[in-house]
Amino acid sequence: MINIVEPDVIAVETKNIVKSYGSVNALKGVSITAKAGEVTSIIGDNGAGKSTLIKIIAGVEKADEGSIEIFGEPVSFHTPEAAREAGIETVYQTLGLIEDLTIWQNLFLKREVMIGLPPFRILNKKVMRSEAVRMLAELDVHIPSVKARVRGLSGGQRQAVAISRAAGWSSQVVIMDEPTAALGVRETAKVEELIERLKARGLAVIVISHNFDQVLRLSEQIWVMRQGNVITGMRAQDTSGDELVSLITGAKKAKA
Amino acid sequence: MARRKRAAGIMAAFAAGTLLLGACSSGSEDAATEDAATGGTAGIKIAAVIKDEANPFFGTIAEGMREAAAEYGVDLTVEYAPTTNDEVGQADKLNTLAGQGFDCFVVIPISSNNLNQGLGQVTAAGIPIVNIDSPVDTEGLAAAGGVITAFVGTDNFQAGVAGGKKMKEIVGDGATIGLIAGLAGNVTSNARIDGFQEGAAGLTFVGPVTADWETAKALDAAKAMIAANPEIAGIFAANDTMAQGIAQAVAESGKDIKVMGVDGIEPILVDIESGKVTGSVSQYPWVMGKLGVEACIVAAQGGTVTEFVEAPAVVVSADNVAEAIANFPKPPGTFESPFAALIKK
Amino acid sequence: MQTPDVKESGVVHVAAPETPSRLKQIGFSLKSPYFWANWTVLLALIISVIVFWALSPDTFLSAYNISTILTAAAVPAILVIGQAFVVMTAGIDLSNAAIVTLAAVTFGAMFAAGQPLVLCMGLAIIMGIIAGVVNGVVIAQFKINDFIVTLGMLSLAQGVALVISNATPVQVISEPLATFALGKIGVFPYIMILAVVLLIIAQFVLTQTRFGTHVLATGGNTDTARAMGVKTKAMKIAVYAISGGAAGIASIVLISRIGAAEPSMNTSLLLNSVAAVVLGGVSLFGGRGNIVGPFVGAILLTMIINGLIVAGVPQYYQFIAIGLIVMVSAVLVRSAK
Repeated sequence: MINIVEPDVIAVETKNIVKSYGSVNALKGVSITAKAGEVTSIIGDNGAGKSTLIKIIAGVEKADEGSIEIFGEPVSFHTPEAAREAGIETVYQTLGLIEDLTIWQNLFLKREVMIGLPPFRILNKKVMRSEAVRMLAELDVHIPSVKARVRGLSGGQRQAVAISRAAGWSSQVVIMDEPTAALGVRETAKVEELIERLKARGLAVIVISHNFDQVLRLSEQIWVMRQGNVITGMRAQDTSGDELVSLITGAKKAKA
Repeated sequence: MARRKRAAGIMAAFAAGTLLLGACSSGSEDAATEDAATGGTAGIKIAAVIKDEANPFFGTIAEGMREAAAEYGVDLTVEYAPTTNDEVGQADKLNTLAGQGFDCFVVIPISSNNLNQGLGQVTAAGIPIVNIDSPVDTEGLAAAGGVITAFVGTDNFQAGVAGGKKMKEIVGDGATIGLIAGLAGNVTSNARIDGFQEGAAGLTFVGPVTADWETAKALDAAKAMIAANPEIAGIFAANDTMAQGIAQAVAESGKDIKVMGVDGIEPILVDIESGKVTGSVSQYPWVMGKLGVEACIVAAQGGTVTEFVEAPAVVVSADNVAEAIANFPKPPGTFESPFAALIKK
Repeated sequence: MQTPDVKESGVVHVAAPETPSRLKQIGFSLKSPYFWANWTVLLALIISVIVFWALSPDTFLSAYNISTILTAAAVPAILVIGQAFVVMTAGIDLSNAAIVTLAAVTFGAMFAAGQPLVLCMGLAIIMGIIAGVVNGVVIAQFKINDFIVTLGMLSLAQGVALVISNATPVQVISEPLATFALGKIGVFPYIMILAVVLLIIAQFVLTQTRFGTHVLATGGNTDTARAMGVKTKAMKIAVYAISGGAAGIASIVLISRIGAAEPSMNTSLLLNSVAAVVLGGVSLFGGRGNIVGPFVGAILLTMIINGLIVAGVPQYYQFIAIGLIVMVSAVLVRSAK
């Protein structure tokens, strides 16, 4: 599943997204871009609107105003399923894994491979298990058996499974909300390796993160949000940790 | 894994321990005594499947059965229904005992039909059945291939009549009486209620309301009845366990309402003496139990048994309660057993 | 792990990870709490058989007694199939015994009106399913707690049953039904064969269909499952419908055994269905388990009562022994979590 990467292709573009919840203006006109084959990070303090923006791109919420384009095509997602069909997968902080189910069951949830003739179709467990092994292998994830239940996995392993699922089904965009927030140093390193591989496959990866070192390490593009607005965006190579901190806290005014 | 193994071991020990404990005391149900055993009756094994233990009426029946078993030196096993109304549970117990090699069965079914299938199998094995207290529906039983050898019971209709007459005597003409029945559609309950209404003809009746033979349900039903009919002068219950609940409802209401039951269990006799309850049409479960086992012995020995034996019923009220208590569980006066003479010693 | 072999065309080859050796796999599963949850009940069954056989060597394992046990276990076993599905979605059906009564009086009413047997049976099952669907809809659509809703249905079903039947039992004398209740193949009563057929279907549905996986997902984590697109509401309604349908089938078996459609509820059926589900290794928190475990649990509970009677253990000890065994088994299953 390798995409040929063309340079500078914008995978996701949002234009002036506005979203309010009652009297709370969560997003006041947000425009960002994310390119294929790159990691685009969105940073900002609590309440900046990062999660809301992500939910709108993923089809969980609908914007009040503004538009979204995927590879230049305008889209309107009414449900998460519609977003998935457009090739967008999301890994939330809670991971979306069902603990008592096995790894292969989680990977194929709602996408079960069936065998037999309707209406007597049954699960094709053999194919699903071998596919699961392949999906994990593609991202070089080491787990002894895909028949293991998620409950027995470490935090890093679970994150890896969740990301493998997203990457396995996504054709265009993978969104991640705080992928390493709950992980230790070694596991964080492994997950970052995974993210690099996603990038290498040509996917557009959008990451929300509080870890500025990580943001600078992984990303090509950074968007800084505060109180429902994008105050600025820049290439990672053009900025530093200190600058990011001061932008967030407002000590330094953003360049127009 | 060691933890699981240890836990499994503990569980096994627990279970085994309880069973051994229980099994050791299982002898208490067997009333065989060497001294009383005589050639003709030794080795006879009788099984009884009766109604729930919670009702003292059935406990007294069991006492009468054990007395007879001890007197004649036969083996007796008694199983109670798991709860007042668990029909299938009682049927399961009968089924279990049916294959254990007993010589005769004494049964009190919860409903007129719930034991039919098990009894059919008992008859098929050539074992006689003595039905006491609550009649089995013989037609339904015949369809299952079963036959009752003998029935020993109170004529429930006449019992109701006697109770009705006494109530009318006490409350006078034109009074309103509440009726509280047992399990819906139960033959015994219906007979008593119908009999009462005939014996108390001329009075106004409220109900019958079913309370499933249960004290708590009867308490609630009586409360509702008293609240809806403030002029009510008396309440008749198809059995004493319900009468107890009704008596409590009456006490709480503070009104002078006469309570009459059926069965004559010991706590009710005490209540009659204290005035909490007006009267009860006393049955003699002890006699029924004794007669039941005696009939079984005769049948097991191959003798012919009278098919229908009426057990005594006496209205106990303030007039004769002292004598009733003194003689409990036997009826005041004497009672001849039609079977005793037939037993081959 | 081998380094990927990047060729000119950009295609990456990665070797598949090794599968662990067979021995390691067995060791792995023996350590798993899931293994013990499933097998504890079987272990308990085997221990009980041995103990009861030792107490009554001539009679406990006789052909007659075995078929008596299986006959008595049929109704609880059928009910437990439904309850297991419900508990696997982290729900509970407190109304199943009352739905049995409701279905039974429906049968009785049709039978008394002279309707053909097949119609009576069909309507009993349909009535059970309707009651189950009501449970499911109120729980899923209005988002009310399973415990409370089914508790309410318990009273509702009992009340409707009393109204339909006018609190009077209906005698059901039917030769086909009596043959069904009494017939056997070897030691296996027809009614138990029916229960086993239902078990096989249920276990198959749970493990081999998409529906089964989604049921477990709904129970494991309802919010996550819903976020992943699983139709959790439909799953909830479906499992309660299954439980109601099982109650409907159980009512027919019950009627055939006691020869009447009785309007009063048997609460021990409810209690035993929950106890058997827990004994069978299904977590009350939902998300895991199978149907076979609870089924064996239902047979175990029935067998214990029978074994105690056959051993001549007095009534009081029967209750104590059952209570102890259920509690200890529940602890055993729980400690395997």
